[in-house]
Amino acid sequence: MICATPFHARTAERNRANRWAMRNRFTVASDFGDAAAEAMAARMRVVVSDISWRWRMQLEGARVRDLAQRLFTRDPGTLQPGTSAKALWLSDGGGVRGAGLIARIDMQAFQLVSACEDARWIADAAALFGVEARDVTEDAGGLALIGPYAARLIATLGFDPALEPLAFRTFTWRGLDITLSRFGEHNGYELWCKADDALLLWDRVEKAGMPFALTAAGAEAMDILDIESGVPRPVRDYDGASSPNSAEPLAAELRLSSLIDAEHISFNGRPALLAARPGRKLVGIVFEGDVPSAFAAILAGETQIGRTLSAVYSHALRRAIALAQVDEDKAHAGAAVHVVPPAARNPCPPLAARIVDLPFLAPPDPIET
Amino acid sequence: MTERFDAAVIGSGVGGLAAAALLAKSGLRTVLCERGESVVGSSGLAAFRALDPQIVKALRLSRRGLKFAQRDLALSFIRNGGQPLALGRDRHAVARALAGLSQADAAAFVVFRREVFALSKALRPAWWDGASLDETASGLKAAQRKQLSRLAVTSAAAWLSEHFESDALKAALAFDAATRGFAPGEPGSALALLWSSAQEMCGLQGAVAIPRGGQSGVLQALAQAAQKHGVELRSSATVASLAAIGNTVSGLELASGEQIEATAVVSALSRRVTLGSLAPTALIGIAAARALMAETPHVGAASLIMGLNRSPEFGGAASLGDKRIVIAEKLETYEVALSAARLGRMPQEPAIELVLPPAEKSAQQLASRLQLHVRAWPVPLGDGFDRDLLVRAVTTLIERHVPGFGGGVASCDALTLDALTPSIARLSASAEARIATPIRGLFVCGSDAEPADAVSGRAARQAAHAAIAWLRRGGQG
Repeated sequence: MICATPFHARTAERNRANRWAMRNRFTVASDFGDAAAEAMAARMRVVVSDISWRWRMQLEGARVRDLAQRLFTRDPGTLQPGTSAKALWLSDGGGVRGAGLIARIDMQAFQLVSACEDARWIADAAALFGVEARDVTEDAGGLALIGPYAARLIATLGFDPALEPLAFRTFTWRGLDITLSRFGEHNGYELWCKADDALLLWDRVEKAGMPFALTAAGAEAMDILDIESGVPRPVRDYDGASSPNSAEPLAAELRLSSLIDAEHISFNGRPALLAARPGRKLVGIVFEGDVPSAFAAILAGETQIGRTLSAVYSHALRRAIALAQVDEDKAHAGAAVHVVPPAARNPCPPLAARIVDLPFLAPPDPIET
Repeated sequence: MTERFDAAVIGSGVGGLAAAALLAKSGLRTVLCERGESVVGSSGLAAFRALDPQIVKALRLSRRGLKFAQRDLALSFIRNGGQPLALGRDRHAVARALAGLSQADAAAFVVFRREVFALSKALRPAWWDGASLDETASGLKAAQRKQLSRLAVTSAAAWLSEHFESDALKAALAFDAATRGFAPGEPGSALALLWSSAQEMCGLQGAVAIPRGGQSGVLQALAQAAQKHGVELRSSATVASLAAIGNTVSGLELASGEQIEATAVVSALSRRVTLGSLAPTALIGIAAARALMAETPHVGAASLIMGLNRSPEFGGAASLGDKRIVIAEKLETYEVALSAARLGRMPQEPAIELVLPPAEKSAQQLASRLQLHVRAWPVPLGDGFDRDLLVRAVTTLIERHVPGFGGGVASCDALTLDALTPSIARLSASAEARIATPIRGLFVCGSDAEPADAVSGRAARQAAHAAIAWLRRGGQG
């Protein structure tokens, strides 16, 4: 089933090149004319991006805390309503099934927000605890405001931008039920509304954004920001553990270990995770030339030591870059490597590159209001 | 208060007592915790089909009081109000008896039994010694291997229909698959018939025997063996939870709060209860927990003891004696009854098996000395089960062949429901796969750890050996 986001009417008008991408089951604008420019706008000014495609699952019930403690690699039990935490959930075998954000709605409800859907697994887990799990993705629309001027735009809209990272607030704003959050979309803000109110929200944001040269940013620009930030995304960069006992992918090999709390001992897959021995590391690849190569073999001499994941040309860095997984003992920053593009109609010679630590670039900091 | 043992066993019954006795026999300090007031119980099965001969021998149960009142009950069925037609061990005598029913069936039976016995005996390494069915199949002759791979996807009903034409005969033969929980029409249920034929009682392949004292007699002998080898038997000792360090079992906690440390734990409870209710939740994966929940059985078998004032006479003949009578009119009887049971309704005509053990003096005997043991399949479990309806259905079925039977029933007692979890995968799996758990040092040996639901003790033997090996490795690896 293919769905349109609640903002589709507005994004379609602006997507003059008619380029679309699939995110989960939604079609979103791939770009609005120039993905590179949109990504630069996110670093220099402020952009608005439709993030309604982010999968959201509402978990409600008396034992929702027990469920959350069991599901997630960090214990959200101590979160207060209005705050959230980022975490992973693992298969029985310790492989990463998904990464997301757990928002505490109230004492008997959490909402999981993630770039990838895993409804069946979450619902099965919820059933063990008698917790109701409901996919609420299509109930709401979401806009991300990213860039140095995001805070000022928020203030112009009439919100108080003083919101701690990972916090959220819900209120009625000019007749609309709105949630303002800072769920970590490149240090920006997110505005969530009911699906039926989406177009109204878009129009208001666009109008308020004019003094800041607010630009619409498509999926491709968001990917550029992700890669520059060193953030791997499921589906785009890796396949989450699909079978119940999968031991891969390992969190440590995706630079996601920070989302695991070593003190939290009851999460699913922990025994297997502790027994695992990661052999690879997520690093950055900077190409000597301007042409990046995704999902390509990385060689040190004649030996393959890893492969690239997503790759883009970063205008902010003026370099072609890629995320990559490299054998841990070979993952030294500064090491010279060659990247062999996948076999194509017109084969290219190996591309010279070097290994760097991540992130390539930190997310843009909002300018204080 | 914490006590230290090498091994702890949860639950008594045949499995728990056998495992405990074997563990202690190997020199391990062993405790058995049973929640009931007695480790030997007071009622249960009359007829045994699969008691592990290796346990009987290893624990010298014959010297500890295990005797048999009947060694080889002949499967029998009734046709048209006549006398029961017994399918005894003398296949030629059976053929002569079947000739009155169907000449073709009479000729086919001789061949069928010979082939079934040969193939099922060849599969004992799988079902007795713990190999997987695939491993065992690789050692078979080509013709047997081919037949096995075909039967693994063939229903018992289809297989029997290939050989026989008489509905009553087919329905009677199918009963042994049904009491393992397999619908005779289910693909692969032919394996359940093979499994039944592979078993041995009193040295006789495929026999069904009645121990003196029924199940209690077997349990008494096992309890004696356990005590002889030094097992600490504790009754009224409910296990509340398992303790673990990391993903390795470290003991038990009783409902009383008492802690028992043990390097190995063998649970005679079902896998679902052991892992779903007792084990620390973090050690059982979400997918594994969901799979356990999905195994919740909704259909089972009922065992009922009817106290009689007089022995029922089938076809005007004397009592059941050395027979077990199956009343199931035809193969469709099973399917109709199963449809009802799956919908949570009591079937009007379950398939039933009747066994009349020899009358015995017993301190625990019921009001009547004659006890008709009835096994009925299928029945719904949970709210759908209705004891009165079951009794009425059983009485009605028997009265068709024994007019006035109901008038001779003095009591209906000792009803037990068996939740059956039939699984072709289990029939094919190795012992290791059936008894191992995600928690190191924890093994299961309930009836769902057997290849087919049955009271056998074989899984207990295999679990005990695995626990002994685990302990000899220092509780590692």
